[in-house]
Amino acid sequence: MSDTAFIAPPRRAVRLRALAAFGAAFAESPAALAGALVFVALVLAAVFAPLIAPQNPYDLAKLSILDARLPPGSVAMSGYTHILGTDGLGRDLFSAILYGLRISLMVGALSAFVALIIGTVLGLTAAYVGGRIDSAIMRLVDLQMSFPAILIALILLAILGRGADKTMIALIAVQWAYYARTVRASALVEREREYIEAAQGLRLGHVRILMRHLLPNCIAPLLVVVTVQMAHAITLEATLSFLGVGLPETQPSLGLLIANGYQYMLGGSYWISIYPGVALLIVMVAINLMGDRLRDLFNPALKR
Amino acid sequence: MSAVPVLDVSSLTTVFELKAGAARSVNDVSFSLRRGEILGIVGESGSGKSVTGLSIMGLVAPPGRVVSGEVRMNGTVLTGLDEAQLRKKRGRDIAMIFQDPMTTLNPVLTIARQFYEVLRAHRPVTMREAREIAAAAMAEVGISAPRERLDAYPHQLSGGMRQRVCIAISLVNEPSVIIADEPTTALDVTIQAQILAMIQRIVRERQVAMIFITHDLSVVAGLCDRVGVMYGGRIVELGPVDEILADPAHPYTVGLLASIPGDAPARSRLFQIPGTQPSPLDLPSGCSFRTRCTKAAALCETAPPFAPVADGRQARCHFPQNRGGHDA
Amino acid sequence: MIAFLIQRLLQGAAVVAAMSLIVFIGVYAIGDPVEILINPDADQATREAVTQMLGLDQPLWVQYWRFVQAALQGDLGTSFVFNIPAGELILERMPATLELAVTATLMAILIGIPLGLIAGLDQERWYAKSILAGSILGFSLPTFWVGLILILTFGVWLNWLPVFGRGETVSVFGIEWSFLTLDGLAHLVLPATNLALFKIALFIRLTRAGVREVLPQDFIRYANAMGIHPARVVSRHVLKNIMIPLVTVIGIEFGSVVAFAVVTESIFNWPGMGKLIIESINRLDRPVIVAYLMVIVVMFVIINVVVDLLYAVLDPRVRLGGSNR
Repeated sequence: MSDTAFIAPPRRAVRLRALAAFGAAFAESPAALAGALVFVALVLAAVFAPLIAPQNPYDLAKLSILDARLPPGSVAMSGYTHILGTDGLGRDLFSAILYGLRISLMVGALSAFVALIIGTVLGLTAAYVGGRIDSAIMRLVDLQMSFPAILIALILLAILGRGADKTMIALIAVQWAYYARTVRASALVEREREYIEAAQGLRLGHVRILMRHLLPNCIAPLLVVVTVQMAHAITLEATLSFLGVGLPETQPSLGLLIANGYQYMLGGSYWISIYPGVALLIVMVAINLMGDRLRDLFNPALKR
Repeated sequence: MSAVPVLDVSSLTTVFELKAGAARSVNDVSFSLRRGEILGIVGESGSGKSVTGLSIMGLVAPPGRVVSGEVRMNGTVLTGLDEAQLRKKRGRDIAMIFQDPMTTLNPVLTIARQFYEVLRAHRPVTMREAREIAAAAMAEVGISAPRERLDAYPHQLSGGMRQRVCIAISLVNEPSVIIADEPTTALDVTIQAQILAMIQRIVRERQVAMIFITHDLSVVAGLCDRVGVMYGGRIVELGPVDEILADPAHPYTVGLLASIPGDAPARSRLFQIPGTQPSPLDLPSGCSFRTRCTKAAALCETAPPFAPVADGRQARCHFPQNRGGHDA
Repeated sequence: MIAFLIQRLLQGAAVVAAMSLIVFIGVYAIGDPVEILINPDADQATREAVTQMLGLDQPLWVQYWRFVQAALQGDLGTSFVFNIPAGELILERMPATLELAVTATLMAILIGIPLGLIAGLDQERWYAKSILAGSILGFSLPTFWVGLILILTFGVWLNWLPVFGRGETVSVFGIEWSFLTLDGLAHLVLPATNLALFKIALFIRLTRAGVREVLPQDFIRYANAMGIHPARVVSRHVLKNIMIPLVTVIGIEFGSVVAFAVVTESIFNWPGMGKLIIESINRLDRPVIVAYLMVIVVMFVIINVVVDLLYAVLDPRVRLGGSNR
């Protein structure tokens, strides 16, 4: 066995340097950098929505029906200027969008995170244990992936009913398989490497081998899947909420804001639907630009 | 062998404009080629031998560009033609054989279809006619039961058979010049010998001219009439194979011959040329071999001319080896 | 070939069986249909009578067995809302959905693949870069929101195209079709565009990626070196290599288009089975939900088998048997 067999994957200093190099390579694409900056800005806006928003859109005491459906730039009874107008109930649309963004991003990120954990555990198990457990897990993955996400989500919501928790379950159910497949594929490649054999030879614990050796090598491809899946989850949630089977009225994500504005759209109050949609679009473009760049960076075939 | 050259390459220079600078991959290359003759171009990888072949074909892709020199074929100046005119020459007057038969054939087209595509690029032909021509061409390169192979896909043929098919396709429009770029490197040694013998037979029978690009001097020894040795984008020595192998003039050729294991006594250490080939981005001034040459002197900092060293032989060296001696 | 087909069909049947079990347990066992069927004020006796009538007092496996037996005879239950057989209801709405899905898929193929070719062949040119950038936008636009924008722009502001329903239809073989009348076609334009947009972006990216992968290969360089015209190199050598994986994707994406028709149909009031399923979910019309899901599952299984067969026919390397090596 060669000398290098016992050298574990990168140590901290090496990792930091690799991370810096990776960041530099990522920023080489202006579009990707712009996407990342916009995304960070959006996340901050969502996190600090209560501080930034000029109005708490769900404080019923502050709402006046007389302010309903004011076009962008109108001055309300209170003297406040609604830069994006107001919705059917007289809420400041800009504030509603900030709060909606908060809900959309939270649902998207949380479901992606839970799906990531479930998928990673199942994927690693499949790769490491192999045999029947592997084929059982992969059958399930195949079954899930052979149906479009929206269909599976609809089935689940038809069974479970509407609600934030149920929507999250549906979003997790349509995502986990992608993580599982990715992790399994990367882990299988790594598993064959000498140092895993060496680690097993040293009788390191299974969990330790999994966490310290197999998992770090799955991170790059996982990062790509996370961005793609988070974008998927956010649109899917918006779509389901728009169709009236996703989030409840009390938790108005961007999708629900668009749906609520739909009824006023043909009457000429287009902004109630359009602006939340633009916000959703900006989120999606930002994430997709980052995802594209990550995919290019991690695809060895495209490296020059 | 007729005396009039079919192909005349003079001062051909190809530059790749890279971020790191301009790389002269082919630098002032000149040679000529007669009917029925095989000229070997030998050199290490990166010496510019493949780019020479592509430059003659007009197939150098950006950022590469033929910047000067002339390629003349049967009186036509290829380097002066536009892309459409050049395309009419390619495959009909001058053809190429690639290195890897596994990847040269289109995996999703039948053999007959690939013949048809190459035939109809240069003359009106029906599929039925193309099949007849293809069957005959395949028989000529030694494929048994050629008609049955016509409807096969490349993956259904062995590596050696695929290279025979490639050669047959390259020859099917009866070009007068063929550029073969390491056509046997990817094959097993036994099959390599068969293919080389077949190539030699066809060149003699059809009286075509061939440039045979290789890194393997032993292949050159058995196959070629003349050989050009390339180093750092330049031809450093050119002449009849027998003479150059027996009595190399350029120190690089001397080193190359000395590093062939065949002649060395068993268990003795193989000779190695000291140092590594310089990057084409950063060639030494004057003689590009001087940084590795044991005989380098102050004079070598000026570029040596490509001067005659004997009848029909040229070398690019200020201090060519003693004629007649074999003490290198 | 036959063995392969039988194997794939058996696998498909297994998927259908598995899905029917999941759907049955999900829809019938988790909820309580009695709650929806009867008046909340009904007394205990009525409640029990209805439970017995529906067989809900039986063990789960008995219920499932009855469900399977009925389903195999084409009986998927009766719609609570419309009071007609659910299967019939779905089949009645299916042509409208298929019409929309086929049109959208064709649009995606006819627009996406040529644009993808251009984006891949002339990678460095400004128009190729614009196409690629456009595809990112197409990827990011949520389908339902694009639908609203289309309605607003072409229906409300410009008033060029109708935005609701199927318009005038013509009956052929007892099925109503919109695309055979001018009015129907006008009604088809916006929903089909809406549904196709995402897939156009997808096909642009897949085609472009395929071109980028095929172009540097030796057989393309060889074709160029043999003097084959670049247009011919693209149409014969490049395209054939890309089409093989693309056909698979087109098949799978057709299924996804059918599923996504749910959104477009709801927005454009297109009376297909997608709109029906959303209405049924909102009204808890369980037999219709189950019928829809079973029809969709069968449809997907068929699509998958067809795609596998097509793949085997197109790609000589996976051709089943027949290697004369």
